[in-house]
Amino acid sequence: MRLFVRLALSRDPRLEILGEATTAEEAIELAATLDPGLIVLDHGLDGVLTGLAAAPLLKAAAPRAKILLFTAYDMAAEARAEPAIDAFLRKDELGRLLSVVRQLLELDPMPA
Amino acid sequence: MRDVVEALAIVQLVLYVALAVVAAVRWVTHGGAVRGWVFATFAILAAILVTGQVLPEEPTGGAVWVVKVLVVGLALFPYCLYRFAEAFEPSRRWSQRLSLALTIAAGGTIFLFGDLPQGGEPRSFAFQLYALLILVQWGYLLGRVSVRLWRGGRGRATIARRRMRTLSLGSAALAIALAIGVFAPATSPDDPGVTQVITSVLALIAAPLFLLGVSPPRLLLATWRRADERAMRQAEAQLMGASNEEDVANALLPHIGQALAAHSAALLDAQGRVVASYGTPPSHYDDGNATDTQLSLPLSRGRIVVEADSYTPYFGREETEVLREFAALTDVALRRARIADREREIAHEMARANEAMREFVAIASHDLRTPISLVRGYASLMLASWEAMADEDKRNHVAAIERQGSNLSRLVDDLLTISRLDAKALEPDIRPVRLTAALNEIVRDLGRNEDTTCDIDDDVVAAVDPDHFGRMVRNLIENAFVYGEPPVEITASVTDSDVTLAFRDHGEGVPAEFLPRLFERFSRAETTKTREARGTGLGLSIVRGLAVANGGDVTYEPAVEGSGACFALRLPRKR
Repeated sequence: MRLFVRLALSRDPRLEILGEATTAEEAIELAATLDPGLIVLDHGLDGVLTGLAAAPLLKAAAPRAKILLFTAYDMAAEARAEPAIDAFLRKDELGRLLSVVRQLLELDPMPA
Repeated sequence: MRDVVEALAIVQLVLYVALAVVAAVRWVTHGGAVRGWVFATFAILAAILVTGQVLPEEPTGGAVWVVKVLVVGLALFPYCLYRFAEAFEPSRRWSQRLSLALTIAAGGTIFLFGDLPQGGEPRSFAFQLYALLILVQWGYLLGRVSVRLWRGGRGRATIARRRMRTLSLGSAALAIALAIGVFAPATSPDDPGVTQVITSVLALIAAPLFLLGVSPPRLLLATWRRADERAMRQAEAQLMGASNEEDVANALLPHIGQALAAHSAALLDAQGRVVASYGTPPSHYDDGNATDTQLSLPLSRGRIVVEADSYTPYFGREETEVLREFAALTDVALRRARIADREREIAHEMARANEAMREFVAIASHDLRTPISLVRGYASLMLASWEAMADEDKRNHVAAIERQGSNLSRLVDDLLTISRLDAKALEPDIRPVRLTAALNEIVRDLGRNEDTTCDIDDDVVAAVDPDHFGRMVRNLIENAFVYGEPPVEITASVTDSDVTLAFRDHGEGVPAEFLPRLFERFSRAETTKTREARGTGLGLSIVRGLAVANGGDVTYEPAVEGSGACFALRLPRKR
């Protein structure tokens, strides 16, 4: 899935993938170091913390970053209830990933 | 005055004879030393009164000896009443000896007198001393009886308490009557005097008191019982509202304990174990055989055992009968409590099952969506940029679609298997399977010949569905390579009924914290290897389900130094 996300986002040259993590702990460390503009966060992560639990910690590590919860679980209500999460997208709406990322980063759509 | 005294004497006679008859019937009907002493007491008294009526007013010759025998009876009467009270609670040895000594002295000394003073004649000093001896004997014995019965009634249910205190008052009344009679001036039968009337009245009052204490009529019992009935109704209501065995016991046992003034009461189950208790229970209970002080009330499953005191068998008879009815009510309450317990258990199991199903559906949905999303995602990417996409990228994306399709297919297959196992719709087609040949074929199919050894005798045959066997073994071997390290060793141990295949790898083994969830659905241990591996998390759950469906099981044996994980698959041998 990470490979696909990388592929999908690479279609917009304005986006640069700064890093990837497999666990929430790794992600928090990277976020603090890299100071990203957006974090695409899965819920089912390796390690102890889930994506939802890790969101506030990621926000604290990288206050500037928008957090997109991207998961196959039906978690729209939980995502709305978590203030650290800026957007929620289910994995079966994979085709909308790029447009949601652009909206979060306030980027205009690329011309066709 | 004489007429009054004579009338009182007749009434006394009737009452005490009736009392003696009642005591005799009770003794014959129910037996026991206690009732025997009651009968002796009032039989002697009745005999004295009857004989006194037929004796001449101024006895001479042989009649004097009869009078002396009556005096012996007068000494024996309080002693018998004392022995009645002693049957419940023996006093100290010195008191027992003193009582006997006084009785022997009072009864025997009369024979030292030649003639007895007639009514109205002055009494000699010796006779006055003798009268004092009688007073001391009666006073001591009746006094002890009165105090003991009064105290014994303390803290008891109403009927028992009133019976004991009624007897206590009767004893006291007789003792007072005697004291007045001894110290009153001598009178003639023609001119009885006020003191004679008073003693007669007191003796008359004592008679019904004794009668009520020994055998109270049903109407009076019902009146006395009213005070306890409210407590019984409350206990009944509590019993019917009880939702578990402990509530039943807490509603019942204190009431039983108080009603019988018991040291303890306990509810025992069918195996004789104490479910709940009141008071200080003994270290063990007799096996259902009641003793005088240990009452056993049988239930349909178990019994109620009450450790009462020595007064209960005689004075607590009515309560014991009521409590036998309570035992029937307790049975109903216990059955209700057990049903309620079972209902709660079932509701809890159903809630757990529903929760497990919800979790299962959530995880299954997630795991199905992920490969579907990727298939659609890669397909969309390719459609959107087909012309501009490099051939290598196209190949990579198609390979990714193929991998995800394969993952999806495996997951769907696993979910269907799980579903069939849950519905018990998987009917194993049990056949004899020669294990060595079957294992070697599977290892070959998986391409693991070089890293897998199979050390099993050729003639070992298991009775198992061949397809299920293949699936279980494939899963265990694949797990060994995916989550462990080669080489993988397969060995067998054989008993008369089973063969157990051990699949051992040389990896790190299963982390200890994961062991409780090892065979659960969708559970995957967190190790370096599992991060790379992407199984469905259903494999071991399916292996266990299939093993059990085929009459066996699969277990995990902890890793020892240098040996990794070991899974043991037990299957029945060929039948």
